[in-house]
Amino acid sequence: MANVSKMQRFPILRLPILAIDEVLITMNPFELINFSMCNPTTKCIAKLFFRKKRGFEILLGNSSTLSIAILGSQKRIWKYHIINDESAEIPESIYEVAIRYSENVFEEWKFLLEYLDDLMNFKAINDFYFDLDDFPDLNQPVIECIKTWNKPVKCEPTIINVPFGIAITRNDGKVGRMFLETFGNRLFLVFMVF
Amino acid sequence: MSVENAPVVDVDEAAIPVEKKMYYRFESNDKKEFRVSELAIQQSETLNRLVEAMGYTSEDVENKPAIAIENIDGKTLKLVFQWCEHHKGEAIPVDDGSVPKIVEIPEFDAKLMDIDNGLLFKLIWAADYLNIVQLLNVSCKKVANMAQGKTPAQLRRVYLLPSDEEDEAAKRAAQEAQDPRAREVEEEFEERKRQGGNSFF
Repeated sequence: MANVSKMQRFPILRLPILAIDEVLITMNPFELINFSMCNPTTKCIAKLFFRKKRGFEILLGNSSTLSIAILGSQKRIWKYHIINDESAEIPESIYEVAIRYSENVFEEWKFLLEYLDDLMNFKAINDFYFDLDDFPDLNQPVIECIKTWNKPVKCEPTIINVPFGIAITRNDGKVGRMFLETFGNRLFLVFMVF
Repeated sequence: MSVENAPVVDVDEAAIPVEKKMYYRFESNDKKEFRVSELAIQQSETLNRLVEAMGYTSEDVENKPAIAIENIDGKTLKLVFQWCEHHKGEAIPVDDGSVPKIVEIPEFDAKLMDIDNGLLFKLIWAADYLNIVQLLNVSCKKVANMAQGKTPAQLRRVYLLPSDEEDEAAKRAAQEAQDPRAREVEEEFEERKRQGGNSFF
């Protein structure tokens, strides 16, 4: 056993493997993700942990803010909001929330999504809430990003529900274009305003 | 005979055989001895199996030497047995697979673990070695709580984690310390590659 008689801090990596696992399993996803970001060793440990504990799922959204949420057991949710304005109001939430500031919210969202996927190896997108009006400039990049990510979407994405593809003029005068698009292994009808 | 007509008999309570509680004796690596009840020992899978395998009677417990626990010191073992005595008879928790696992630290455990991190570290090692599931759960939860609201930089300080650069430097130092000749060969190989040689030999 290590000699740690006078320490003020806690050398977590010198614990037995089972105990490290026990520490990690009681941490919430925000804490686990921060732990993984400490150094390459902790990232490796966190990755191994997530390979064993497959209970987490991912939810994506662009309503009010670009967000990535992680769903744990008993429907508990931890949600990242990515914003570029520190004074912006974050919508009230029943979830545990963390804010990430970035000048380029899309790049930050994409970086976080790729990082979390590498770390947690999600098999599917559990839910995808897509609001066309909130970030019209980002609709196309977000769709492209999810397309290249190539994960199935487990729940129906909240995209405009129109039965057949036609051009539609909205009441604000903008014209939307409808097209078929694949997300993962499913086909969706998408309505976008450019 | 009806109950009302039954003769009243004075009972000598001292004469009734009382089931005697068995207390096992354990010795830490610094020769401190502890007496622990049979029921408390059941919290530790390791010790429980050990005493079952030994099959000690009450006389054996008194006459034979205390069971030595070689790799745990007296201070740590005292905490472990205090915890076991307080939680004796409680069911051993079973992992329900939930993530994150919800672990509440009871008041008694919180007071028991109001110790410096060095002793907490030894307590976790002891709980792991003795396979005391719930003690491992609560002690590890206390370590996990240290991460609450911390950034990666703060976590590096709390958990004594080297940064990327320090980690890399430590790996390099370890490699060099392990086999200086291997390093020389590697450098020679790189040099030859730069000079355009196809073969090292």
